[in-house]
Amino acid sequence: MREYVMVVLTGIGVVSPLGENAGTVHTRLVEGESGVGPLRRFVPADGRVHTGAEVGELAPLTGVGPGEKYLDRYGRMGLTAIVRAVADAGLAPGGDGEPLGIVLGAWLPAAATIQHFVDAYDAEGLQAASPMEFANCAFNAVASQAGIRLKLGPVNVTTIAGAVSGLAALEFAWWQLATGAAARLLVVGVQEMNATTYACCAGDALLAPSGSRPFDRARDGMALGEGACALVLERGDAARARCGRVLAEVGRPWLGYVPECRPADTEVAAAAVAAVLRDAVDQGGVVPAAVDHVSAAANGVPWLDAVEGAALLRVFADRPIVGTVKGALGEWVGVGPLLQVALAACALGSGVVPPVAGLREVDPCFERLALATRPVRRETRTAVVSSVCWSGMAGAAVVGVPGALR
Amino acid sequence: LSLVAYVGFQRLRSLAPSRCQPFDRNRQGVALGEGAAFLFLERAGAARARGRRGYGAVLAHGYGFDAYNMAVPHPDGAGGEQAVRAALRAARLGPADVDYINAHGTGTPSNDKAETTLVKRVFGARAYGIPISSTKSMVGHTMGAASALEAVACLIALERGVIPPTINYEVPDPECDLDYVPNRARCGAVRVALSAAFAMGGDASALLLARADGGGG
Repeated sequence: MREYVMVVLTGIGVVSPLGENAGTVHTRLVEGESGVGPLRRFVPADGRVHTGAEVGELAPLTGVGPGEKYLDRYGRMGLTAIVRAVADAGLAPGGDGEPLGIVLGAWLPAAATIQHFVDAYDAEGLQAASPMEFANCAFNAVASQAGIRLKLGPVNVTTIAGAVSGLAALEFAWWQLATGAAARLLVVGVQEMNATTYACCAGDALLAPSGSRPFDRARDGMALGEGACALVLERGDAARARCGRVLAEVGRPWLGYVPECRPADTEVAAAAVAAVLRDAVDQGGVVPAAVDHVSAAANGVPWLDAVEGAALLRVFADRPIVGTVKGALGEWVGVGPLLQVALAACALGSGVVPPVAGLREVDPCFERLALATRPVRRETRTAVVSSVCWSGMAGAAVVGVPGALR
Repeated sequence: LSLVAYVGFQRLRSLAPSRCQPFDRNRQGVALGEGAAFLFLERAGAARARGRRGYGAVLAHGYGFDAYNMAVPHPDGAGGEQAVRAALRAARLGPADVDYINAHGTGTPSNDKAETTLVKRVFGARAYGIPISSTKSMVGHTMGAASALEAVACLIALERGVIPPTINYEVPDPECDLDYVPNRARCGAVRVALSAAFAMGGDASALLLARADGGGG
């Protein structure tokens, strides 16, 4: 028997290196395109890695109050995704209908803006530091900018939880909806590639000199990516009441800290990660044998892919199709799980799982996984979005066609 | 404490030049602070099973958002009002049930006036009988840590029956005319405490805490 009310996904907004429409991004992934390429917006200080998955020039932002005024690039990406998600869901926030709240998950929000603000002060003194730029230095700035411009609320929350910020935001929003505290919420993540975010990953030696090749024998790290993803989640009854289109059902997200998730011992780490994934699948409302597709967190970091692959084998054996979007779109760090949810929903709807970009020769340690080495055309009813991070956090969210989750 | 916050609040003209004077007519802004607080939460039954009464009980929380301005709160404290009403509704409590309010009380002219207005809107005539204090007058504004530190202040008030004061209070403001517990702590039974926390950008939250034993101290 269902313990909580049904939570459904009714709108998606994406800003990505492969476009600003989730359906388009999915199609381009199926066609084998990759957004990973030479960096254009900044030159990394260490000079070792020059590739990433950058978003190009952003389209002009309209329909959000004062337009792009007082928005930094991070905010513009977030607002663009939010506006698209709201439109995709067929909602008009701020009217007489049920309120639409917002939950933002972010890894290093406003890093570039903070740096610019400090640089301006250092170079030219107090008067050069813009008060409006300071407002955008706050970690909650994107959620507030969106809330003010689109009249969102009363829930307006920003979660900062490192590399699982997006999953934590999803979990928070799910609880708000499932327990009746809110009827519909935007769950949003934004990731900007800039000198600060790049340096954080370069410092941990996570970045790939040769581009992103998840599950590949020759993988040597991840490509950093950037973009924004906004999901409209609603209580099932709220969506039905307004005849809203349901893209997928979303089970209870689950995450935990796995201290064993370290490079030292793959099997020990995999066993511990598998335990969390089993809990996550159970909490999400399915049994492992019913899972058709796994959107893996795999990003090409050698030890991390190995741990996740071994954990997936322990939980699911070789049944589900395993893919990852990070070969083509890069690692969005905390925002990755939200992007994975969006694209897993697209795969459910289209009956096609995209291939793993950058994968040329499957590492023998993954041979028992049913990897999507080419587009896999098969009806899928349930998908697990896996999140396994170098910080030791792990978790998952389950999405399914309506009625597929218990 | 960080350079970003100092420069930013100075540019917003929200930094007090010397001291923080919440709700005082001559208040000029925030005093920045720093610190940390962690709260360990467990089910009441689990705490009892290991022989611990706990500092207090978490009754409910509420969120609000005023959708007004990135740097200035809504003049009526609309977001805070949403949050406090949501918390009271979730806890199934009424205005008469709250014995103490730990205010957001930053010491900026706009915040303290808006917060006073929202307390009056939610609590009506009862607003004049509830002790309200701003512990930011003593520890400064610790930004993201403030609501956790202020929850601790509420829990100690609940446990010990001592309400912390608002220090540096000298000149009453006709627009802030509630009981702000000026300058000296006050003994008194506190069964339920409300902690209010707002943020630049319009976010608001409210937390209702009660004595662990449900008594009046």
